[in-house]
Amino acid sequence: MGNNATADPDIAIRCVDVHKTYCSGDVETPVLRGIDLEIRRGELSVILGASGAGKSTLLNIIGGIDRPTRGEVWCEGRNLAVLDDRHLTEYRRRSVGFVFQFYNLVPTLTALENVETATQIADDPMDPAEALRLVGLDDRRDHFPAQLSGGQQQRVSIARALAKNPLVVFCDEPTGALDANTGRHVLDLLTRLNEQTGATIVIVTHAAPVAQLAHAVLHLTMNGITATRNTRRACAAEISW
Amino acid sequence: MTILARKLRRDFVAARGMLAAVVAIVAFGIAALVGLQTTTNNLTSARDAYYAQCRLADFWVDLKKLPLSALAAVQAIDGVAELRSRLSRPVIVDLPGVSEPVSGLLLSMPATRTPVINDLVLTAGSWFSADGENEVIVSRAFADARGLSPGDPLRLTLDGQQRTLRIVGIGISAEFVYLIPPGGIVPDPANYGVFYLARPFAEDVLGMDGAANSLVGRLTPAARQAPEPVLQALAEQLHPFGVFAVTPLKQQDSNLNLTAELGGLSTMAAMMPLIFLSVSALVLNVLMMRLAAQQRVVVGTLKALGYDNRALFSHFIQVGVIVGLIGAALGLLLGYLLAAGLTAFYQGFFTFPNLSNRLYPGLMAAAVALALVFAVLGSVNGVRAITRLDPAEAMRPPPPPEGGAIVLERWTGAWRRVGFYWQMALRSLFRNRVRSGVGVVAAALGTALLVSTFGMLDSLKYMVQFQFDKVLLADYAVSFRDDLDAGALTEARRLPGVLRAEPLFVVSATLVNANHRHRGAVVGVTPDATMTLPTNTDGSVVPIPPQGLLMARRLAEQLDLAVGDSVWLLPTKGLQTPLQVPVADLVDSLFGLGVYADYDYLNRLIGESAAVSAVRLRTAQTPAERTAFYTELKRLPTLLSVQDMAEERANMWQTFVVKMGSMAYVMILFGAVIFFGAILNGALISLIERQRELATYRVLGYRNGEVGAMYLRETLVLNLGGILLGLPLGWWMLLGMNAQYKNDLYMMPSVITPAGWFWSIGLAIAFVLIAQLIVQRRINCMHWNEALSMKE
Ligand SMILES: Nc1ncnc2c1ncn2[C@@H]1O[C@H](COP(=O)(O)OP(=O)(O)OP(=O)(O)O)[C@@H](O)[C@H]1O
Ligand SMILES: [Mg+2]
Repeated sequence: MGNNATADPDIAIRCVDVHKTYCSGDVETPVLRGIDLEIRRGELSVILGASGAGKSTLLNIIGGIDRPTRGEVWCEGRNLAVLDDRHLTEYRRRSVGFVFQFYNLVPTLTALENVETATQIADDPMDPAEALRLVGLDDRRDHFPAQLSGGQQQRVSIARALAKNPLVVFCDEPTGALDANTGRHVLDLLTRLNEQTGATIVIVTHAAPVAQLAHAVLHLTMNGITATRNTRRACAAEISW
Repeated sequence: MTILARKLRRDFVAARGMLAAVVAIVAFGIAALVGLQTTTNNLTSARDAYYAQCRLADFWVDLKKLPLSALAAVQAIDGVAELRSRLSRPVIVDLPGVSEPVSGLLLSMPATRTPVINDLVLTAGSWFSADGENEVIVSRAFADARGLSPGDPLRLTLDGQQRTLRIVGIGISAEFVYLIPPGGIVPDPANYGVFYLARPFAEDVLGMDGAANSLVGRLTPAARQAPEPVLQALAEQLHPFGVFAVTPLKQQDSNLNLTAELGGLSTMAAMMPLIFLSVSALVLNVLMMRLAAQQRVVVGTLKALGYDNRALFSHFIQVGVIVGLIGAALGLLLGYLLAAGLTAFYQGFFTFPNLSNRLYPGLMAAAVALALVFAVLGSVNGVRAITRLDPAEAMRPPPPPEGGAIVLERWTGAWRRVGFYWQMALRSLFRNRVRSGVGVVAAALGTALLVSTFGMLDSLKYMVQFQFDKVLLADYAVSFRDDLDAGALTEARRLPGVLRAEPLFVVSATLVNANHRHRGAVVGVTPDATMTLPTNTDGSVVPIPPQGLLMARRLAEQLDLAVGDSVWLLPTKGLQTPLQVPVADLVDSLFGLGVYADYDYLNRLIGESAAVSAVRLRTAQTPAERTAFYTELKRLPTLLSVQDMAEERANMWQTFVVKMGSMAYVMILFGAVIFFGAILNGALISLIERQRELATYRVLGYRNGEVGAMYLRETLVLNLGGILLGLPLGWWMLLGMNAQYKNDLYMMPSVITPAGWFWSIGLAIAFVLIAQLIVQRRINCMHWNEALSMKE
């Protein structure tokens, strides 16, 4: 299986029979039950699912933030499921960028400095100013998060994720806290960045229309995951939710 | 990590109010440590240098008369390294324009300057010329108090003969770092001095050719470890020459007082920093736990970005380290100033040639290290909570704050009756148990500090009042050099303005029980005495038993005696035959190792009748009568000393109460820092945590004052609770501090008057209210709209 996982250089991440069960006290909550999936390199993938389906859980697992209860998560020839904390941290540091629903910027750092939080620990980062320019915020680099609108904050967050030049950028509900228009801007930005920089992007959302942007769509339900590919991709301006 | 460093700096600025509170507490703790310990070191090194410089004796022997031919045999005693014989005599000084006879101690010194045991350090003038005829060197404190300088004349009454001497020098000696007149408790530099004469001249005027009545000596290093057997041998060897007292250095008055003071200082130097640094650690803990909660998402994000625990740990622990460092730096500065003040204070208290404030790098390094240890201890909980945080967990919204009912709400009836505001306050207190606990502890310790400070003052006042209102009831205490007969009493009664005179018969004696011995005196008191009343610490008077001895309990314990036991009495008066005397009763006195007996009983024992060594006088004098009274006394050839009790009292009050009172202000300041630091820190944290809630109240139409009142209730509950706990704690601290001053000779009573309690509680509440005012101001200038629109 291990050979199989690393065999195809086009596959960035592969999950094999991933289970996740939360235990709080005596109560066991099974969330993921045998997930198999592949994220292809350079593609924009969307994971769709109803609220509570386990999207964030899955994203955390492939993002190296959490570990599956059972199963394998292969990335760059390593099984994340068996990595210890130190190596998981190393994985997040080198291979992963995150965009959060609520941006999660450090409130006491400026836009530029927030990007620098990522570039300072990366191996081969972009120039942070360049990253801000990519998201169209080079004129806001010295603003603090509180001085930015929600959409601008999310763009800083995207710049922060991209600036590391990561293998994969994970976005958990990147438009969840934004109005429709601003959301479209952010999605447009993500698709353009995917095309321009060739970054692998995984977007998690419960808003089905977003899936039209993706190369690949993964539907997460209680029963498992099903993958489809879009033959024609819409552009962000066309979709609404 | 320059970005994290920048973040740290901004976090610091944002939390500056709260951090300043912690920094202040740390700073005061370090100031207490550095200030008190530096003072202790200053005093200790000044003492050691001074003792070495003057070659201070290891023992003192007072005796009647020792022919110098007998000295060799004493010198030969195993353990005696070196010996100096000298002459010593109480003197009366007649100062121009001063009606009362001033007393002092005359000591002989070699005519030519050689380093001797108990040497002098000259601070002005010169040594004696040739054989020193009619020349005197005067102790510095006395010379200063009376404005005397070299060249001035000085009239001394020696053996009833007046002589006018010329002052050649002013000097000090390690023997009298703390010079207390006989029978006194505190120094009285204006009324008691030491006067040094050249040996040949002293022998001449005292009629002691080829003899001595005082020995000072040094022991071999081995004997110094266990001086008792050597002193025992010494006393036996010297017995034929009438030994009054053999005093080891440990029990010498001046050294004893210095040691007691140093002991008290080191206790404070340990206790105060411990209190402050503990409170600072507790407060910092609260602050860091708050930071952990506040930065939950930031930490989760940084972790998701790939920051490892080590980086985050060192990032957040720096908050504690910086607090510790800033606090320590301020503390070092404050401590140095405190030490300068305290050292100056002790310069007025003790006489040293060079007591100065110095820097002790080792101490400072230790203080910084200690500050860091406590700061890190205080931060580590919060930092651990931060690093333990799982990134997946941190991303999720924090668990809802403990809502739910608190324990108190189970008493539904009572709960409803306390009203809305109190319900709010109580809920908030119970939901933040750790923070509330820290608030209570800080208030308790702050209060304890106030209570023990006021208690210390009250105890000193009580001691002075007790001594002069209960024990020393005379207006004058007049002592004679030799015992007089009953005629002296009749004469004393005839002195101008005297209402009543009571005789005392004082017998220097050694008390022996098995292998315990004590050299002191037995005081014979008449049954109808009203001015010499052996009194228990509780104020009850113990009557003089018709037979046997009444003994200070402290002494009975030292001699291993109980009521009904008998003790060997070896008097230095009368027939000087050893007597076996029963212990009839004990008295719990504050001071001294007093032994009393019935006047006639003691006379019979010794083989005297109606001998008078001293009289106590009650008077009602006009100023003219007073002058006449003194003039007549000065004419008495056997006068040893006259103590004006009112003056003694004023002097003691000045020394203890007034001087210590100024120390109290410093302590009150320290107490204030704890209250302010803890209250402000707690209130500011909860203000930030609840700004959205408070903003909501404001939007609903509550006034600033009403919002502040919610806080006031919380603050009051916490601090009144803390104050209540602090009262017994302070009392207990007072007992501990006073126990430090207890020694073989006296004890400090522990007393807090209602006024003392009142001031402690009043100040504590005042601090609480002032801190609350600051909180209210914060509330008044809070930006409500921002608070409402802000995302946590
Ligand atoms: N720590 C946990 N302990 C117990 N159950 C959990 C825990 N975290 C998540 N769950 C449960 O797992 C399920 C999936 O949660 P998850 O956050 O992955 O859903 P989601 O698809 O991201 O939902 P949403 O669209 O609302 O964000 C939910 O039912 C949630 O209650
Ligand atoms: Mg989710």
